[in-house]
Amino acid sequence: MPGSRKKYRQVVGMLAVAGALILGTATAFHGFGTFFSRVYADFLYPYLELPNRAKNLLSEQTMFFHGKSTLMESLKELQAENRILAARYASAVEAQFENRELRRLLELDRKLDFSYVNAEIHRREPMEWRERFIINRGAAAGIKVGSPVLTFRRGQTGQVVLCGIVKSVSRHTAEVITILSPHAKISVKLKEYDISGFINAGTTPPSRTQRGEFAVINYLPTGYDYQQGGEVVTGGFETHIPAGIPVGTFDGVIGGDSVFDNRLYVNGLLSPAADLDNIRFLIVLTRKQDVMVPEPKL
Amino acid sequence: MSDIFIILIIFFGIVSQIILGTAGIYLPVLALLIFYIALNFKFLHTLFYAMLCGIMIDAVAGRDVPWHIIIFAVLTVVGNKWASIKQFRTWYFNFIPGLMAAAIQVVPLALINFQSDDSVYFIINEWLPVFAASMFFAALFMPLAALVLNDLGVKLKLPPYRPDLGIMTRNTRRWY
Repeated sequence: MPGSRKKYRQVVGMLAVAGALILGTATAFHGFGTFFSRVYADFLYPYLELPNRAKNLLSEQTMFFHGKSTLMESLKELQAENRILAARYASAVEAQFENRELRRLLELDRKLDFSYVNAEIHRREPMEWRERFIINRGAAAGIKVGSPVLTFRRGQTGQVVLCGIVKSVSRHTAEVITILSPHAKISVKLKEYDISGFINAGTTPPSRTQRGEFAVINYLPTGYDYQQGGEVVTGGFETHIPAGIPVGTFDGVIGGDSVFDNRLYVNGLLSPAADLDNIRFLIVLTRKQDVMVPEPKL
Repeated sequence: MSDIFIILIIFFGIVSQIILGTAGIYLPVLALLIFYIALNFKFLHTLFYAMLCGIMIDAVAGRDVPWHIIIFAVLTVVGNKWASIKQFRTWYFNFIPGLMAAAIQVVPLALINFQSDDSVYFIINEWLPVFAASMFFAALFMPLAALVLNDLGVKLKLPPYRPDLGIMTRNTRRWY
């Protein structure tokens, strides 16, 4: 009997310690979480970046398998594309000068410029594949919280579209939440109707159906005959996100028309323009503190 | 020395899970390794490391709620119970705890990620392949992990893991 009592006490004691350990850990989770996420983000960064480097090295080495004529053709195509881009850049700089001059004449505040940072995906979680990922550029590259993250349009490489926004930044990495994450709240504009709404601003979570995943646009005004297929662009309401970046296509209004439904505004679905399943290269827009373009000589 | 051995196992588990995850492959490597630790080390000792892993994995994933703390605690309890069943000590029987560990990890995560307005298609398309792949992997990985890590433990001349259960002494450490 004393033996069984001792064993019983041991089990009870062990369960009490285990319970205290679990509760204590859960309580201190946020503190520990911050510490470990910093360790991951900066201390383990060089080791976790190794697979990326190996992949890029392998990708570069495959160039040697191409013939000289193929490489020459590719070079010519790239040079032609570069000339077009250089011409477009020159006209953009001219428009920027003009814009600044007009703003000066109208006594408006000077519009700040954006700089572009190239990034690649550093880490990704299969459970949140389309909602969140970590990129291999951080505060050291000038990335700030709230910066828009762009990628190529689904099936096209000529046009960049909004993929998500930066949620948090460490020295070498940044956490990006996509427009399918319920935490990404961005103002958008339906180009066709010239009206504004907000992505994920309500309580309805992004919709997942057989047709794909959709973000929810909240607070669209009533009284419009909304049609599917219209282009949705950024609204420019946020300081860090310029207006007019394509976000996706409008996929119709959700919710019923009963007496129990909201009659003040309507909600709609947004099909993302970015192919969130297959992202490799990204561009992060960061707002410059000082405009880099020289003052126009008048 | 045992603690260094456990930390190395955990480090391998976390890094391999992160690298595989970035490649889009979800496999419960860490859950299986925690189960292995639970089979071989004392309950509170394992629970401490399980909690640590739970925090780390949830911190990396940026989750607001530390679900893995609960999942890994359950794994520790189940692993501890499994260790006391003497009939299943041979290494190849580890496919059964492997399947259990994978199910304990994947099923709650599927339920947590499932939203009330999601269609059944979401479960069939997204979670069924994850569940099937995890079970298949676990059934293969767990016996192999037990075989390799037990051998490694013997070669490193680690002190006895579980003298209280009468197994894993210096001479009879092996599960087979």
